[in-house]
Amino acid sequence: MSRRLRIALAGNPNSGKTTLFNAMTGAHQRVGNYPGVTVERREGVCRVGGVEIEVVDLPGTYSLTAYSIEERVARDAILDPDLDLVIDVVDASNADRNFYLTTQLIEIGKPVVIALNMSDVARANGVEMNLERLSALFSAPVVETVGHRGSGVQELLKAALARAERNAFPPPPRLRYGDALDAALDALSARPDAQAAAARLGVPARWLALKLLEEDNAIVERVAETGLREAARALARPIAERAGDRIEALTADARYGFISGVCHAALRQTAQARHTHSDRIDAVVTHWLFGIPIFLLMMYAVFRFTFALGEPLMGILERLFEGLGGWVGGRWPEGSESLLRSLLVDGVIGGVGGVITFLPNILLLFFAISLLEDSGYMARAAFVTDHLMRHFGLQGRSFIPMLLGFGCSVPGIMATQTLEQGRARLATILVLPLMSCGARLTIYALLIPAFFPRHLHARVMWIVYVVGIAAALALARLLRTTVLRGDSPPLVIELPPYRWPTLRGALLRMATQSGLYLRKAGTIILGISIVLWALTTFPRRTEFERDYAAEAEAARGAYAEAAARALGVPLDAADVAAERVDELADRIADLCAHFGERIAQAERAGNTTEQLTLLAARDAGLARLRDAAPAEFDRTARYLDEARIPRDEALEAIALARQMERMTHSYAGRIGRWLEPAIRPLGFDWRIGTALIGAFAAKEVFVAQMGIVFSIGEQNLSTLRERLRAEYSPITAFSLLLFCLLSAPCMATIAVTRQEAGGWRWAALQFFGLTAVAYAVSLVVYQVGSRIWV
Amino acid sequence: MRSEHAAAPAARYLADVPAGESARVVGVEQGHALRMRLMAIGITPGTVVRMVMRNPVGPCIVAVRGARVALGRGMLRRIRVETVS
Repeated sequence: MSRRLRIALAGNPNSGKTTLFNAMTGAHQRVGNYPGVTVERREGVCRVGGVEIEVVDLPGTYSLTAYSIEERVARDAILDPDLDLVIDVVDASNADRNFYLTTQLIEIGKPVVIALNMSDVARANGVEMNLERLSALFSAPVVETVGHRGSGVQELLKAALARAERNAFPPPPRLRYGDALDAALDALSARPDAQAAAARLGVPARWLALKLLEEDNAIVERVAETGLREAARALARPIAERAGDRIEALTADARYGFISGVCHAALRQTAQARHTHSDRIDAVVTHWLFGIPIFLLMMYAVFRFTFALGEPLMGILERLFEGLGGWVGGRWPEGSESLLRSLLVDGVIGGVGGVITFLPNILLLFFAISLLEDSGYMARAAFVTDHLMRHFGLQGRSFIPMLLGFGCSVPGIMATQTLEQGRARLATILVLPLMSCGARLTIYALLIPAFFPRHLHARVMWIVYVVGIAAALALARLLRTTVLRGDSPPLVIELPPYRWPTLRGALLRMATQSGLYLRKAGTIILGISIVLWALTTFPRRTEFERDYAAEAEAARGAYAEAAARALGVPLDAADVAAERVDELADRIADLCAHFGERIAQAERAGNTTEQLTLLAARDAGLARLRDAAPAEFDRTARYLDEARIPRDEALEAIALARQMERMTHSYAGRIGRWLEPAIRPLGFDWRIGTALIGAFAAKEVFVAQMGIVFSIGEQNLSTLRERLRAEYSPITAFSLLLFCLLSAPCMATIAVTRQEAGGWRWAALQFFGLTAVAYAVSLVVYQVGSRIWV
Repeated sequence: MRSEHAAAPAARYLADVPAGESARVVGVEQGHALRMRLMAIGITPGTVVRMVMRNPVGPCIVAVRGARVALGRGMLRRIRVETVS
């Protein structure tokens, strides 16, 4: 026997609904979005006694009106004719407020089962509950649960199953709304057109009548019967006038009246202990003076956690994809010009690898955020930053995503999911890429040392970051007074008691979030990667201006001669002799490379002592190698200096020149040239234009791209810097720095913006808007700067 | 609205209630949607609320029906209250 049952979990925010959902479905859950909106939709499956139960976790809401997207989404899901039953998750330690939703749920007519969640906390706080009486008052089964321990979950599911299969409960109680309103409800629901409309919508006629009287627009517009709508309005007007208030306010009052009767009859509060502990923490955490520093400290911890742990993992993934690319590339003969090889290695593996390397950061970030969220701290963070952010048309909750944007815009934009839906959230998403991300740091690291004296490095860097922050706040304000105009709703947020977060909850959230990221962003980014690959690959160059193959052959010939000379063997024995010393040569080269990097680092940091220590250590290492076999060592060193290193450098230069010719010929190169007149006023030439197109794929590609257009390998940063210094002025460099900071965010950001903002038009606004801002700023900087300084 | 004609000595708002003191909600001015939001969170006429924490600037924390709710200044200035006897 295989039956399916569809149930929904409804409940207030902080009622422990999602914990209960996790306890029911474990890892068998899917996360997606409700169609057309970005409200998260969680579904899972569990089995009880041979029946498969599909569980939908509705967004947490306090009521079921039409005033917020979450409430509308929740209500529509409950009205769905395929849904068999609703489990109402009630925080037992906060029952009277939670029952407000319950009173609305029982009127919709779907079978309801009440889960008195966190009943252990309620008991500890001195709340005594009479379950039988509660069950009778709401005419629904009531089950006690403790979500984070999973206790009561099986009983709850069994009760739901029993309730769905056999109705042993009388119809739900009719709430009394006062004589006038009750009479109007009776009159309206008795009308044949009301019953027809109710049957069509699958709701009780009385509920439909209530919504019509309340003028609930989301429901009214689904009623085609104009006579019915007119009748409802005519009935409602005198009642509202007599009461001096809207019908909706009267019904809300009546609900609380009913609830106080229920609580009086079935609950007994013997002590008031629920918040003392939390209040004491809040006295410090939300303090007007200490609140912000504590918040910044918490955010710094999240930041450090995410990026310190994520960085090495990202390195591993990067190497993994490099290895995979090398392995796939190796299926073809060396120097192969196969298009398929290039598509797979450079386009697909390069592009998808770029997406997946963000994954550790996203995993860790969502882990840390859900710990903070579940502990109750996130609500406090919104509280302490609210005042500050309001000046810019943003909300307290905007702060965290923006801070995360300094690491990477992608997780930053994903973190806006914790914001309330609406314009403030959209504004946050749109300006978030202005928080200078880690990938842009590679561009600054190339340009700043190339153009500015050492004592200005930190200052230029600081200016770039501050410009980013100022632009983000200014643009947020601009957006909120133009395209996204509208009052920020004043802050109304519940501060739940502090709780210990559960590892299980954090891990589950981490897993589902990253699945969502991979699925949604992955497909889009794969597409854009292929387009960018095509731009840099086509049209293909088949005939080159220079004979690169002959040049490479010449370099190899010169190498053989030099090797023979250095090793003192005849030319035809050079290869064999070179092979014999290659191992030692590798060790010498490795040693020099290893120290060379650290010496250069010490030199950049201006640490002369360290530089000298490292030099001495390197020489000592070389001397040890030499002592083992002096004659062999000298021959090998000569071979390295005169044959191997010159050959490697020559071959690399040839490969780069070839790549450069290709790039110039490709669409990307042509676009760069075509862009030149447009970007000339900013101080840029076509080479920078081409590199900027690459930067759209991922900001760090800019450096590699500059290397290609100047035919200098990426490893040779200092040579590249010298070339740049010879070609451009510091004012061009500064203009370029600002352009890279402000302009079109990378494609991963665009893809995530589309996903989170809910449409391509927002992604397009972000792309073109930010690029326009970047253009204007760079134009002013270059035009004014070059007149002052030159 | 309902309290417009109440014979209170002077209109008092939740924004005027000092920390640690309680007051009874009389009504909410302006903005039906906001009022419904407050009602859903438990702030209805007749409810006794207590000011738990008020900062010199920014939002305040109020105790409502056993829960803690943070309310922005704009909100506090719209919630009319009376002294609890």
